[in-house]
Amino acid sequence: MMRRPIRRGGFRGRDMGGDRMGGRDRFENERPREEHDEHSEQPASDGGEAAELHEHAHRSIVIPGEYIDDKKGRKLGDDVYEEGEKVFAKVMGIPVANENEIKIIPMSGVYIPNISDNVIGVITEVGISGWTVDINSPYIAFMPVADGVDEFVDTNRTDISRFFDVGDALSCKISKVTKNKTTRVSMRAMGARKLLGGSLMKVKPVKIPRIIGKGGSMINMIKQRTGCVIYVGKNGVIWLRGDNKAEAIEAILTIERESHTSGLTDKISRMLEGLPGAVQPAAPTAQATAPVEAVPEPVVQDEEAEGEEHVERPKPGWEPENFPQR
Amino acid sequence: MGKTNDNLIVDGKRLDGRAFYEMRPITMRINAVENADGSAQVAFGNTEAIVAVYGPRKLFPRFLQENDRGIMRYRYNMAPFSCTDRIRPGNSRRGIEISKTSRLAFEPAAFLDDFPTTVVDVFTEILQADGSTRVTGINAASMAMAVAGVPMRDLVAACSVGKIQGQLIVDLNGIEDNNSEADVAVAMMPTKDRLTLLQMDGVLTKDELFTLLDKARENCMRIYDMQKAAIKNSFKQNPDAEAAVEADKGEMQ
Repeated sequence: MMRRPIRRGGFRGRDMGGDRMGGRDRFENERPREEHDEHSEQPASDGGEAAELHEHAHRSIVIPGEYIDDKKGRKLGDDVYEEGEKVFAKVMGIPVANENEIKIIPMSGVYIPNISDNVIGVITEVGISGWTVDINSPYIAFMPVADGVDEFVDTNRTDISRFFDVGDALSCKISKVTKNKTTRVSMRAMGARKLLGGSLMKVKPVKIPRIIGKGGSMINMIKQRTGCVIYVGKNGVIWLRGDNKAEAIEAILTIERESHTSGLTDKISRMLEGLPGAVQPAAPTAQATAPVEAVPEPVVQDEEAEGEEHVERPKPGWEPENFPQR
Repeated sequence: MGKTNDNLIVDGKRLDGRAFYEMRPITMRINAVENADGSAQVAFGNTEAIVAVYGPRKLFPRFLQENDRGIMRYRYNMAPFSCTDRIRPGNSRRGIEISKTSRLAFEPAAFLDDFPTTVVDVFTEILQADGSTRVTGINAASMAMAVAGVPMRDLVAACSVGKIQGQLIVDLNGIEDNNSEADVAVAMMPTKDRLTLLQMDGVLTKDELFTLLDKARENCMRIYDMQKAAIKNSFKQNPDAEAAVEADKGEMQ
């Protein structure tokens, strides 16, 4: 069987469906890049404390039309509007007025594509020069062949469904959004890949930051405790694979339900205690009592380390019954 | 219900014992429809409306799409069992008109420009009709839209005012509605002090109309406070907004 060289962040052609073991070997070697790995540092702490002190004392929920603060030369963030010098809320949510900007953390709403968001999409249509991708938004995204495939593809001679077919789930990046929200997604991004097997779940897009947690603490903890491979899309779609998938899903749904309560990381940590297949914490300080600090630095795979075995990782739970049957 | 020759005002009170400028008891709650993006249920006395809001979502057929803004579809419908007589289900001349005017009451308030080519669907079902159904529907729809996360300039609050047997009143019930000399539906953005709906049926002098508008504005303010309280109180058991703010700071990707 002839295979083209596969590059990281690429995908396997569908014509390989019969050779699952081969696919599996490669899959394990080519451990999926955790999408947060590259970004999991804590937000820059320059003046963070000061900024917090300056934040508006009033932290209760606002409803549309409620006055938040005077503008005072600050930047207007999401979901607020100004009338003269006064800034009002556009949606229901929690107002944040710090020294730089005034914005709302919304409590509900649909996902509106934003450039360079990592999303999880599902192919809904295979066209001549690209794919139509459902990104759980009012707007459908398009992915041209050149953005989906690393190699040159002659679209006149190739049926591009051999790369991605209808129903395939992709982790991809929003590469372009026009004024009237015509959206393009691309596989030319860190962590972009075709998601094989596993399950997709949807949560409210506004809950995604809470599911990820500060610096990725929450999602890393779930990954570690359940040993699942989890990809979180900013559009509210989450892909999971692993033996403790059910527990991971339960945990995520709990976060979604109780996103506005405190102490959630501890609660989830207790929920997921003692599952078989949990990743052994790398750092000796990793204790359940301090889960936020305890989460070890995610293993960042270097370019050179590509293909190396990572013993502390569990084997991805391979579930043939979940593999797309065609 | 229908027409009656009885006195609508007895001993300086209305038939249900209210003073002229007194509203009926109002109840409001949100999240009445589990599957909707946002929903609310509002009752003004015996009048009861339930509203589900979906969207912004994809709009098909495609020729209805607007490239520079979203559109809103508003459906006002009375349940067949909502009156003493059965109402024929489906569209009616009255239903179509009220749907349109209610939609126009929201268009100045909603930031539909933020969502080009999409639609916000609002479904208003009148479960029980006893006068002032459109304003009850508008009050519920406004809360449902806020819960759904549709960006709005302000909530929309609405109330009805009118005139029976020479007396100006607010919040007409069914029998007053059917026997009124005039009947005015008012919707407004309370914090902006702007009218978004003004419909009149019957005859009023200019002075009477302005008196009634003042009363309507007063009542809209009170209704707005109730809407606000209903939405905020439903999140009271989760007052810890700090957690969400903290999580947002850690937002990455």
